[in-house]
Amino acid sequence: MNCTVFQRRLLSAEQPAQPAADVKNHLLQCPACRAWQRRLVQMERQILLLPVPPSTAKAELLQRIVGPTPAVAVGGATVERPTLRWSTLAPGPKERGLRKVSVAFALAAALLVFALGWWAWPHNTVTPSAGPVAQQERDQKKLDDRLARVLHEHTSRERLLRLADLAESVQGEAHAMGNNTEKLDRWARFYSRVVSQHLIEQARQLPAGDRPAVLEKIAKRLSGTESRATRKAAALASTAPRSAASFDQIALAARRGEKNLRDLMRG
Amino acid sequence: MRVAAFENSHEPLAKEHRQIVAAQQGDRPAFAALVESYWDRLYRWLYHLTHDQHTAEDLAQETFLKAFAGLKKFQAGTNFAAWLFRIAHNNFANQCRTAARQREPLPDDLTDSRRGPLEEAVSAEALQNVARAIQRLPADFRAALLLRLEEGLSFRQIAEVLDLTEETARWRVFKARQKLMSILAPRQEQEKS
Repeated sequence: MNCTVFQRRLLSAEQPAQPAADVKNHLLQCPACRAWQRRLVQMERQILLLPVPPSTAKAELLQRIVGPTPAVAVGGATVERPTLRWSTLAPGPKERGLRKVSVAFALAAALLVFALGWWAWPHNTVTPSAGPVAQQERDQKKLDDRLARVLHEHTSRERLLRLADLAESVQGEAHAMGNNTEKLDRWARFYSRVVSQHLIEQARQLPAGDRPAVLEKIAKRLSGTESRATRKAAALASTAPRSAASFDQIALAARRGEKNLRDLMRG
Repeated sequence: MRVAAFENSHEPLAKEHRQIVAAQQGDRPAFAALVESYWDRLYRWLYHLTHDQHTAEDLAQETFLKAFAGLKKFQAGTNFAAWLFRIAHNNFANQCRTAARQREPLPDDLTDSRRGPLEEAVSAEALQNVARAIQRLPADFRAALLLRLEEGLSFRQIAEVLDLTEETARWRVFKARQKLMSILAPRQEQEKS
Protein backbone atom coordinates (compact mmCIF):
# COMPACT_ATOMS: atom_id res chain seq x y z
CA MET A 1 0.00 0.00 0.00
CA ASN A 2 1.24 3.49 -0.68
CA CYS A 3 1.21 6.54 1.57
CA THR A 4 -2.06 7.89 0.15
CA VAL A 5 -3.88 4.80 1.32
CA PHE A 6 -2.51 5.15 4.86
CA GLN A 7 -3.36 8.83 4.93
CA ARG A 8 -6.94 8.05 3.92
CA ARG A 9 -7.06 5.48 6.70
CA LEU A 10 -6.02 8.22 9.13
CA LEU A 11 -8.67 10.58 7.78
CA SER A 12 -11.38 8.00 8.33
CA ALA A 13 -10.16 6.84 11.75
CA GLU A 14 -12.13 7.81 14.84
CA GLN A 15 -8.87 8.83 16.48
CA PRO A 16 -6.06 9.64 14.04
CA ALA A 17 -3.70 9.96 17.02
CA GLN A 18 -4.27 6.27 17.81
CA PRO A 19 -4.34 4.50 14.46
CA ALA A 20 -4.73 0.78 13.80
CA ALA A 21 -1.67 -1.48 14.13
CA ASP A 22 -0.87 -1.69 10.40
CA VAL A 23 -1.09 2.09 10.02
CA LYS A 24 1.11 2.46 13.09
CA ASN A 25 3.71 0.16 11.52
CA HIS A 26 3.72 2.22 8.35
CA LEU A 27 4.11 5.43 10.37
CA LEU A 28 7.17 3.98 12.12
CA GLN A 29 8.82 3.50 8.75
CA CYS A 30 7.60 6.60 6.90
CA PRO A 31 8.66 10.06 8.14
CA ALA A 32 6.45 11.83 5.56
CA CYS A 33 3.30 10.12 6.81
CA ARG A 34 4.39 10.69 10.41
CA ALA A 35 4.63 14.42 9.70
CA TRP A 36 1.27 14.31 7.91
CA GLN A 37 -0.36 12.56 10.87
CA ARG A 38 1.17 15.12 13.24
CA ARG A 39 -0.37 17.95 11.22
CA LEU A 40 -3.76 16.26 11.24
CA VAL A 41 -3.70 15.73 15.00
CA GLN A 42 -2.43 19.27 15.56
CA MET A 43 -5.22 20.68 13.42
CA GLU A 44 -7.84 18.78 15.41
CA ARG A 45 -6.38 20.04 18.67
CA GLN A 46 -6.53 23.59 17.38
CA ILE A 47 -10.22 23.16 16.57
CA LEU A 48 -10.82 22.35 20.24
CA LEU A 49 -9.10 25.59 21.18
CA LEU A 50 -11.28 27.81 19.04
CA PRO A 51 -12.78 30.46 21.27
CA VAL A 52 -16.52 30.87 21.57
CA PRO A 53 -18.09 34.11 22.85
CA PRO A 54 -19.49 33.74 26.35
CA SER A 55 -23.23 33.30 26.51
CA THR A 56 -25.66 34.90 28.92
CA ALA A 57 -28.67 33.11 27.52
CA LYS A 58 -28.29 30.09 29.79
CA ALA A 59 -29.05 32.16 32.87
CA GLU A 60 -32.20 33.52 31.23
CA LEU A 61 -33.33 30.05 30.29
CA LEU A 62 -32.65 28.69 33.76
CA GLN A 63 -34.56 31.55 35.31
CA ARG A 64 -37.44 30.74 33.02
CA ILE A 65 -37.39 27.08 33.90
CA VAL A 66 -36.95 27.27 37.64
CA GLY A 67 -37.98 30.92 38.10
CA PRO A 68 -39.69 32.00 41.28
CA THR A 69 -42.87 30.01 41.82
CA PRO A 70 -45.15 32.62 43.35
CA ALA A 71 -47.29 31.53 46.25
CA VAL A 72 -51.03 31.94 45.77
CA ALA A 73 -53.22 33.09 48.63
CA VAL A 74 -56.31 30.88 49.00
CA GLY A 75 -58.80 31.74 51.73
CA GLY A 76 -56.20 33.44 53.88
CA ALA A 77 -53.77 30.52 53.65
CA THR A 78 -50.78 30.54 51.36
CA VAL A 79 -50.59 27.69 48.91
CA GLU A 80 -47.47 26.83 46.92
CA ARG A 81 -47.96 26.78 43.22
CA PRO A 82 -47.81 23.14 42.15
CA THR A 83 -44.92 21.86 40.07
CA LEU A 84 -45.49 21.38 36.40
CA ARG A 85 -47.47 18.23 35.68
CA TRP A 86 -47.64 16.66 32.28
CA SER A 87 -50.48 14.31 33.01
CA THR A 88 -53.07 16.16 35.03
CA LEU A 89 -55.68 15.29 32.45
CA ALA A 90 -54.62 11.68 31.99
CA PRO A 91 -57.67 9.40 31.64
CA GLY A 92 -58.21 6.16 33.55
CA PRO A 93 -57.90 2.68 31.94
CA LYS A 94 -61.61 2.43 31.12
CA GLU A 95 -61.69 5.86 29.54
CA ARG A 96 -58.56 5.02 27.60
CA GLY A 97 -60.23 1.89 26.24
CA LEU A 98 -63.32 3.82 25.20
CA ARG A 99 -61.16 6.51 23.68
CA LYS A 100 -59.24 3.91 21.64
CA VAL A 101 -62.49 2.45 20.30
CA SER A 102 -63.82 5.87 19.36
CA VAL A 103 -60.50 6.80 17.74
CA ALA A 104 -60.64 3.56 15.72
CA PHE A 105 -64.16 4.37 14.55
CA ALA A 106 -63.20 7.93 13.72
CA LEU A 107 -60.18 6.71 11.73
CA ALA A 108 -62.30 4.18 9.84
CA ALA A 109 -64.88 6.89 9.04
CA ALA A 110 -62.13 9.30 7.96
CA LEU A 111 -60.63 6.63 5.69
CA LEU A 112 -64.03 5.95 4.14
CA VAL A 113 -64.61 9.65 3.51
CA PHE A 114 -61.12 9.95 2.08
CA ALA A 115 -61.63 6.94 -0.21
CA LEU A 116 -64.95 8.33 -1.46
CA GLY A 117 -63.42 11.75 -1.96
CA TRP A 118 -60.48 10.22 -3.82
CA TRP A 119 -62.82 8.21 -6.03
CA ALA A 120 -64.97 11.27 -6.80
CA TRP A 121 -62.07 13.69 -7.29
CA PRO A 122 -61.07 14.53 -10.91
CA HIS A 123 -57.62 12.94 -11.00
CA ASN A 124 -56.35 14.68 -14.08
CA THR A 125 -56.50 18.06 -12.32
CA VAL A 126 -53.16 19.03 -10.83
CA THR A 127 -53.09 21.26 -7.79
CA PRO A 128 -49.44 22.21 -7.40
CA SER A 129 -49.62 23.73 -3.95
CA ALA A 130 -51.82 21.35 -2.03
CA GLY A 131 -51.04 19.74 1.31
CA PRO A 132 -49.66 20.85 4.64
CA VAL A 133 -46.12 21.37 3.37
CA ALA A 134 -47.34 23.80 0.73
CA GLN A 135 -49.42 25.56 3.38
CA GLN A 136 -46.34 25.86 5.60
CA GLU A 137 -44.37 27.29 2.72
CA ARG A 138 -47.11 29.79 1.95
CA ASP A 139 -47.25 30.82 5.60
CA GLN A 140 -43.51 31.22 5.73
CA LYS A 141 -43.48 33.25 2.53
CA LYS A 142 -46.17 35.55 3.89
CA LEU A 143 -44.16 36.10 7.05
CA ASP A 144 -40.99 36.74 5.06
CA ASP A 145 -42.86 39.19 2.81
CA ARG A 146 -44.14 41.09 5.81
CA LEU A 147 -40.61 41.34 7.14
CA ALA A 148 -39.22 42.38 3.76
CA ARG A 149 -41.79 45.21 3.48
CA VAL A 150 -40.82 46.50 6.91
CA LEU A 151 -37.12 46.37 6.12
CA HIS A 152 -37.82 48.47 3.04
CA GLU A 153 -38.51 51.60 5.08
CA HIS A 154 -36.09 54.44 4.50
CA THR A 155 -34.71 55.23 7.93
CA SER A 156 -33.60 53.00 10.76
CA ARG A 157 -36.10 54.77 13.03
CA GLU A 158 -39.00 53.90 10.72
CA ARG A 159 -37.76 50.35 10.28
CA LEU A 160 -37.43 49.99 14.03
CA LEU A 161 -40.94 51.21 14.76
CA ARG A 162 -42.43 49.05 12.03
CA LEU A 163 -40.48 46.03 13.30
CA ALA A 164 -41.88 46.61 16.78
CA ASP A 165 -45.39 46.71 15.27
CA LEU A 166 -44.70 43.56 13.29
CA ALA A 167 -43.41 41.75 16.37
CA GLU A 168 -46.48 42.76 18.33
CA SER A 169 -48.92 41.67 15.67
CA VAL A 170 -47.09 38.34 15.22
CA GLN A 171 -47.31 37.57 18.92
CA GLY A 172 -50.96 38.65 18.89
CA GLU A 173 -51.63 36.19 16.06
CA ALA A 174 -49.82 33.49 18.03
CA HIS A 175 -52.14 34.08 20.98
CA ALA A 176 -55.17 33.69 18.74
CA MET A 177 -53.84 30.55 17.08
CA GLY A 178 -55.40 27.92 19.30
CA ASN A 179 -53.80 24.48 19.26
CA ASN A 180 -52.10 24.53 15.89
CA THR A 181 -48.69 23.62 17.30
CA GLU A 182 -46.80 23.52 14.00
CA LYS A 183 -47.99 26.97 13.00
CA LEU A 184 -47.46 28.33 16.47
CA ASP A 185 -43.91 27.03 16.40
CA ARG A 186 -43.27 28.84 13.10
CA TRP A 187 -44.77 32.06 14.45
CA ALA A 188 -42.70 31.86 17.62
CA ARG A 189 -39.55 31.29 15.63
CA PHE A 190 -40.40 34.20 13.36
CA TYR A 191 -41.07 36.44 16.36
CA SER A 192 -37.72 35.47 17.80
CA ARG A 193 -36.01 36.25 14.50
CA VAL A 194 -37.70 39.65 14.15
CA VAL A 195 -36.79 40.72 17.66
CA SER A 196 -33.41 39.07 18.22
CA GLN A 197 -31.93 39.85 14.84
CA HIS A 198 -33.66 42.64 13.00
CA LEU A 199 -35.05 44.84 15.73
CA ILE A 200 -31.80 44.87 17.67
CA GLU A 201 -29.80 45.47 14.51
CA GLN A 202 -31.94 48.50 13.62
CA ALA A 203 -31.74 49.77 17.18
CA ARG A 204 -27.96 49.69 16.94
CA GLN A 205 -28.13 51.84 13.82
CA LEU A 206 -30.30 54.44 15.52
CA PRO A 207 -28.43 57.71 16.28
CA ALA A 208 -27.50 57.85 19.97
CA GLY A 209 -29.57 61.00 20.50
CA ASP A 210 -32.77 59.30 19.32
CA ARG A 211 -32.32 56.15 21.35
CA PRO A 212 -33.81 57.00 24.76
CA ALA A 213 -37.16 58.18 23.41
CA VAL A 214 -37.64 55.48 20.78
CA LEU A 215 -36.12 52.49 22.52
CA GLU A 216 -37.84 53.04 25.86
CA LYS A 217 -41.28 52.70 24.26
CA ILE A 218 -40.31 49.55 22.39
CA ALA A 219 -38.68 48.07 25.49
CA LYS A 220 -41.96 48.58 27.37
CA ARG A 221 -43.89 46.86 24.60
CA LEU A 222 -41.48 43.93 24.71
CA SER A 223 -41.89 43.75 28.45
CA GLY A 224 -45.65 43.56 28.01
CA THR A 225 -45.23 40.80 25.43
CA GLU A 226 -43.00 38.86 27.79
CA SER A 227 -45.60 39.02 30.55
CA ARG A 228 -48.43 37.91 28.29
CA ALA A 229 -46.42 35.10 26.72
CA THR A 230 -45.22 33.91 30.12
CA ARG A 231 -48.77 33.77 31.44
CA LYS A 232 -49.92 31.91 28.36
CA ALA A 233 -47.02 29.44 28.62
CA ALA A 234 -47.84 28.79 32.26
CA ALA A 235 -51.50 28.26 31.41
CA LEU A 236 -50.64 25.76 28.67
CA ALA A 237 -47.77 24.00 30.41
CA SER A 238 -49.71 20.98 31.61
CA THR A 239 -52.23 20.60 28.80
CA ALA A 240 -50.22 21.58 25.70
CA PRO A 241 -46.49 21.53 26.46
CA ARG A 242 -45.47 22.11 22.81
CA SER A 243 -47.59 25.22 22.56
CA ALA A 244 -46.26 26.31 25.95
CA ALA A 245 -42.71 25.95 24.60
CA SER A 246 -43.57 28.28 21.71
CA PHE A 247 -44.84 30.93 24.12
CA ASP A 248 -41.77 30.39 26.25
CA GLN A 249 -39.71 31.09 23.16
CA ILE A 250 -41.63 34.30 22.48
CA ALA A 251 -41.24 35.37 26.09
CA LEU A 252 -37.51 34.67 26.02
CA ALA A 253 -37.00 36.61 22.81
CA ALA A 254 -39.01 39.54 24.17
CA ARG A 255 -37.07 39.53 27.38
CA ARG A 256 -33.71 39.38 25.67
CA GLY A 257 -34.83 42.07 23.24
CA GLU A 258 -35.83 44.34 26.10
CA LYS A 259 -32.53 43.72 27.87
CA ASN A 260 -30.53 44.45 24.70
CA LEU A 261 -32.46 47.66 24.07
CA ARG A 262 -31.86 48.83 27.64
CA ASP A 263 -28.15 48.05 27.24
CA LEU A 264 -28.15 50.18 24.08
CA MET A 265 -29.91 53.02 25.89
CA ARG A 266 -27.23 52.97 28.55
CA GLY A 267 -24.65 53.11 25.77
CA MET B 1 -9.75 15.62 23.15
CA ARG B 2 -12.64 16.16 25.48
CA VAL B 3 -13.96 13.07 27.17
CA ALA B 4 -17.18 11.87 25.63
CA ALA B 5 -20.06 12.46 27.98
CA PHE B 6 -21.86 9.77 26.03
CA GLU B 7 -19.46 7.29 27.55
CA ASN B 8 -19.20 8.64 31.06
CA SER B 9 -18.68 6.49 34.12
CA HIS B 10 -21.72 4.90 35.72
CA GLU B 11 -22.24 7.38 38.58
CA PRO B 12 -22.80 10.53 36.46
CA LEU B 13 -25.03 8.52 34.16
CA ALA B 14 -27.08 7.27 37.10
CA LYS B 15 -27.35 10.84 38.36
CA GLU B 16 -28.44 12.03 34.94
CA HIS B 17 -30.98 9.22 34.73
CA ARG B 18 -32.47 10.33 38.06
CA GLN B 19 -32.61 13.93 36.83
CA ILE B 20 -34.36 12.88 33.62
CA VAL B 21 -36.94 10.77 35.44
CA ALA B 22 -37.59 13.61 37.89
CA ALA B 23 -37.88 16.15 35.07
CA GLN B 24 -40.34 13.87 33.27
CA GLN B 25 -42.50 14.06 36.38
CA GLY B 26 -42.51 17.85 36.20
CA ASP B 27 -39.54 18.60 38.44
CA ARG B 28 -38.26 21.85 36.95
CA PRO B 29 -35.05 22.10 39.02
CA ALA B 30 -34.12 18.62 37.77
CA PHE B 31 -34.50 19.82 34.20
CA ALA B 32 -32.53 22.96 35.08
CA ALA B 33 -29.70 20.68 36.22
CA LEU B 34 -29.76 19.00 32.82
CA VAL B 35 -29.57 22.43 31.17
CA GLU B 36 -26.57 23.22 33.38
CA SER B 37 -24.87 20.00 32.27
CA TYR B 38 -25.43 20.39 28.58
CA TRP B 39 -25.67 24.11 27.82
CA ASP B 40 -22.01 24.85 27.19
CA ARG B 41 -21.47 21.87 24.94
CA LEU B 42 -24.62 22.44 22.93
CA TYR B 43 -24.03 26.17 22.62
CA ARG B 44 -20.43 25.66 21.53
CA TRP B 45 -21.49 23.20 18.83
CA LEU B 46 -24.28 25.46 17.61
CA TYR B 47 -21.98 28.46 17.60
CA HIS B 48 -19.56 26.65 15.31
CA LEU B 49 -22.47 25.67 13.08
CA THR B 50 -24.02 29.12 12.87
CA HIS B 51 -21.03 31.46 13.41
CA ASP B 52 -23.39 33.75 15.25
CA GLN B 53 -23.68 34.09 19.00
CA HIS B 54 -27.30 35.18 19.08
CA THR B 55 -28.47 32.55 16.64
CA ALA B 56 -26.60 29.88 18.57
CA GLU B 57 -28.12 31.10 21.84
CA ASP B 58 -31.60 31.18 20.35
CA LEU B 59 -31.21 27.70 18.94
CA ALA B 60 -29.86 26.37 22.22
CA GLN B 61 -32.77 27.89 24.14
CA GLU B 62 -35.23 26.56 21.60
CA THR B 63 -33.66 23.12 21.85
CA PHE B 64 -33.99 22.99 25.62
CA LEU B 65 -37.56 24.30 25.52
CA LYS B 66 -38.51 21.66 22.97
CA ALA B 67 -36.71 19.01 24.97
CA PHE B 68 -38.63 20.11 28.06
CA ALA B 69 -41.91 20.03 26.19
CA GLY B 70 -41.19 16.63 24.67
CA LEU B 71 -39.41 15.05 27.62
CA LYS B 72 -42.30 12.71 28.24
CA LYS B 73 -41.55 11.08 24.89
CA PHE B 74 -37.90 10.51 25.76
CA GLN B 75 -37.27 6.98 26.91
CA ALA B 76 -35.28 7.27 30.12
CA GLY B 77 -32.23 5.06 30.02
CA THR B 78 -31.49 5.72 26.36
CA ASN B 79 -29.03 8.29 25.11
CA PHE B 80 -30.16 11.70 26.36
CA ALA B 81 -27.25 13.61 24.82
CA ALA B 82 -27.87 12.13 21.40
CA TRP B 83 -31.57 12.97 21.72
CA LEU B 84 -30.79 16.55 22.74
CA PHE B 85 -28.22 17.13 19.99
CA ARG B 86 -30.64 15.66 17.51
CA ILE B 87 -33.32 18.19 18.50
CA ALA B 88 -30.69 20.91 18.17
CA HIS B 89 -29.69 19.69 14.74
CA ASN B 90 -33.32 19.61 13.61
CA ASN B 91 -33.74 23.18 14.84
CA PHE B 92 -30.62 24.21 12.98
CA ALA B 93 -31.84 22.49 9.81
CA ASN B 94 -35.25 24.19 10.12
CA GLN B 95 -33.57 27.50 10.58
CA CYS B 96 -31.46 26.97 7.47
CA ARG B 97 -34.54 26.09 5.47
CA THR B 98 -36.88 28.82 6.56
CA ALA B 99 -34.77 31.84 7.38
CA ALA B 100 -32.34 33.54 5.09
CA ARG B 101 -29.79 33.74 7.80
CA GLN B 102 -27.57 36.77 7.99
CA ARG B 103 -24.16 35.42 8.70
CA GLU B 104 -21.73 37.64 10.48
CA PRO B 105 -18.12 37.36 9.46
CA LEU B 106 -15.80 35.99 12.08
CA PRO B 107 -14.38 38.74 14.25
CA ASP B 108 -10.97 39.94 13.10
CA ASP B 109 -9.50 39.53 16.52
CA LEU B 110 -10.33 36.19 18.04
CA THR B 111 -8.04 36.86 20.97
CA ASP B 112 -10.75 38.93 22.64
CA SER B 113 -12.73 35.89 23.65
CA ARG B 114 -12.04 34.03 26.86
CA ARG B 115 -8.88 32.02 26.49
CA GLY B 116 -6.76 29.93 28.79
CA PRO B 117 -3.02 29.32 28.82
CA LEU B 118 -3.31 26.55 26.22
CA GLU B 119 -5.01 28.85 23.76
CA GLU B 120 -2.43 31.54 24.44
CA ALA B 121 0.29 29.07 23.47
CA VAL B 122 -1.23 28.65 20.03
CA SER B 123 -0.79 31.72 17.88
CA ALA B 124 -3.87 33.82 17.28
CA GLU B 125 -3.14 33.67 13.59
CA ALA B 126 -3.17 29.88 13.58
CA LEU B 127 -6.53 29.82 15.35
CA GLN B 128 -7.88 32.43 12.99
CA ASN B 129 -6.85 30.25 10.07
CA VAL B 130 -8.50 27.19 11.59
CA ALA B 131 -11.67 29.17 12.33
CA ARG B 132 -11.85 30.40 8.75
CA ALA B 133 -11.20 26.95 7.36
CA ILE B 134 -13.95 25.47 9.54
CA GLN B 135 -16.28 28.18 8.30
CA ARG B 136 -15.60 27.13 4.73
CA LEU B 137 -16.75 23.57 5.36
CA PRO B 138 -20.28 22.62 4.31
CA ALA B 139 -22.52 22.66 7.38
CA ASP B 140 -23.15 18.90 7.19
CA PHE B 141 -19.45 18.10 7.30
CA ARG B 142 -18.85 20.66 10.03
CA ALA B 143 -21.64 19.25 12.20
CA ALA B 144 -20.24 15.72 11.95
CA LEU B 145 -16.61 16.69 12.53
CA LEU B 146 -17.43 18.84 15.54
CA LEU B 147 -19.49 16.09 17.10
CA ARG B 148 -16.47 13.83 16.69
CA LEU B 149 -13.97 16.33 18.09
CA GLU B 150 -15.91 18.37 20.61
CA GLU B 151 -18.18 15.65 21.91
CA GLY B 152 -15.92 12.68 21.25
CA LEU B 153 -18.79 10.79 19.65
CA SER B 154 -18.21 7.58 17.78
CA PHE B 155 -19.32 7.43 14.15
CA ARG B 156 -22.32 5.38 15.23
CA GLN B 157 -23.36 8.06 17.72
CA ILE B 158 -22.83 10.83 15.17
CA ALA B 159 -25.07 8.89 12.81
CA GLU B 160 -27.70 8.69 15.55
CA VAL B 161 -27.64 12.46 16.13
CA LEU B 162 -27.62 13.47 12.48
CA ASP B 163 -29.98 10.73 11.35
CA LEU B 164 -27.50 9.11 8.98
CA THR B 165 -25.97 5.72 8.45
CA GLU B 166 -22.73 5.07 10.30
CA GLU B 167 -20.83 4.96 7.00
CA THR B 168 -22.18 8.35 5.92
CA ALA B 169 -21.16 9.80 9.27
CA ARG B 170 -17.65 8.39 8.80
CA TRP B 171 -17.52 9.74 5.25
CA ARG B 172 -18.55 13.23 6.37
CA VAL B 173 -15.85 13.33 9.02
CA PHE B 174 -13.36 12.02 6.47
CA LYS B 175 -14.30 14.71 3.94
CA ALA B 176 -14.22 17.44 6.57
CA ARG B 177 -10.73 16.45 7.65
CA GLN B 178 -9.56 16.08 4.08
CA LYS B 179 -10.82 19.53 3.17
CA LEU B 180 -9.35 21.12 6.27
CA MET B 181 -5.99 19.49 5.63
CA SER B 182 -5.99 20.74 2.06
CA ILE B 183 -6.67 24.27 3.30
CA LEU B 184 -4.49 24.28 6.39
CA ALA B 185 -1.58 21.93 5.80
CA PRO B 186 0.30 24.28 3.44
CA ARG B 187 -0.16 27.07 5.99
CA GLN B 188 1.12 24.87 8.79
CA GLU B 189 4.18 24.11 6.70
CA GLN B 190 4.76 27.84 6.16
CA GLU B 191 4.35 28.57 9.87
CA LYS B 192 6.97 25.98 10.73
CA SER B 193 9.53 27.24 8.24
